[in-house]
Amino acid sequence: MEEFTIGMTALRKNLKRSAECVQSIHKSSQSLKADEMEEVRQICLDNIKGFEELDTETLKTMKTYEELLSEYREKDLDFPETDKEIDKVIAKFAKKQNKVVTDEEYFNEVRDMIEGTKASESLEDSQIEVQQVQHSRKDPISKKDIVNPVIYQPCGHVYDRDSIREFAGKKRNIKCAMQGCSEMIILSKLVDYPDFWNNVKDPK
Amino acid sequence: MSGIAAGRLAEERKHWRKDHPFGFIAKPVKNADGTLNLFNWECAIPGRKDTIWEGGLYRIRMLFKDDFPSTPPKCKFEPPLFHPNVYPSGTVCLSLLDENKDWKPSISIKQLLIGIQDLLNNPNIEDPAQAEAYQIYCQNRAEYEKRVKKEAAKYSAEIVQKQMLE
Repeated sequence: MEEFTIGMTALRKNLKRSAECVQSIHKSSQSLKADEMEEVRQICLDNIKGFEELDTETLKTMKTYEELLSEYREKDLDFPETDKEIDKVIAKFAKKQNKVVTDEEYFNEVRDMIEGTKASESLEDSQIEVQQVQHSRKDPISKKDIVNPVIYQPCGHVYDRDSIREFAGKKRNIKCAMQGCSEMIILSKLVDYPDFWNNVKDPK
Repeated sequence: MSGIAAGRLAEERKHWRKDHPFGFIAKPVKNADGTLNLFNWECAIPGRKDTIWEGGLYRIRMLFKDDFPSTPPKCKFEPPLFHPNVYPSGTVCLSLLDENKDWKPSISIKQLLIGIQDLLNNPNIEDPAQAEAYQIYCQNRAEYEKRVKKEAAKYSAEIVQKQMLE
């Protein structure tokens, strides 16, 4: 039993290590073209999903056997003999495992990193960049003066909040409108950017 | 969507009137009632100096759809131009004008016209759009240059400017 637990724990650990590898593969894909990057992103997300499912299944199996074993020990029952009976007992215990506490949070975090570099992390980088960038005061979509500046930190491009929202319509992600930028903008990750007014070209 | 397009096109016109590259023309057509149709622009691109295109002013129409700037405008030389990347219909074949290639909503009318001017003297042989100009360009460069210079003379800036003011 101990060996079984060790094996399963090692499996789960490795799944998470693989998830991190996938994440760093995604990170190194940032120099690719937009459509290629989108493809890599999809493959990475699919992989993470697979890892998560496997991890959950592993956890369920571990719990099933733990409980099964302890029940039989406590009650000093005879272990069923035929395969069919064993399967039946296992299925009974497996049913109870639907509510196990999975590592959903861990995998969600990895997913977030892939879907858009996490705001907290990229904040430092982009602040350094931003000091060197002089922004046009025009919104890249409407070409009107920006009223409420929002920034997408992974690429540092600034939009007017209403303009990009109207442009995106019901879409949750849109390609950055700037020429030469291959970033996919996740609308929920646009942040207010009051510093815009200090970095703007020829302030009036 | 058309609200975004009309607003953006009004801004494009404002910017163009304030500042545009020398020798270029770009203006929305007038409707019968005298109002402007911002979705249909009559433009003209001068051949760049020191190229075989110099001296010519080439008329081109830009047609915008309701979902502009999600999609690029259709750009069509009127009349169709002798050039490897211009379809027999006059439509320009250029990655910058392809929604699935290099088009980006931030690209302005000014940038598009300059991009097309650049294409004139730098045809893309990977992506031919008409057989005639493509074949002559590949097989007989002297003949190609002669043909282009003939076009430049035919659409001389003076004549075309006058036509466009009518």
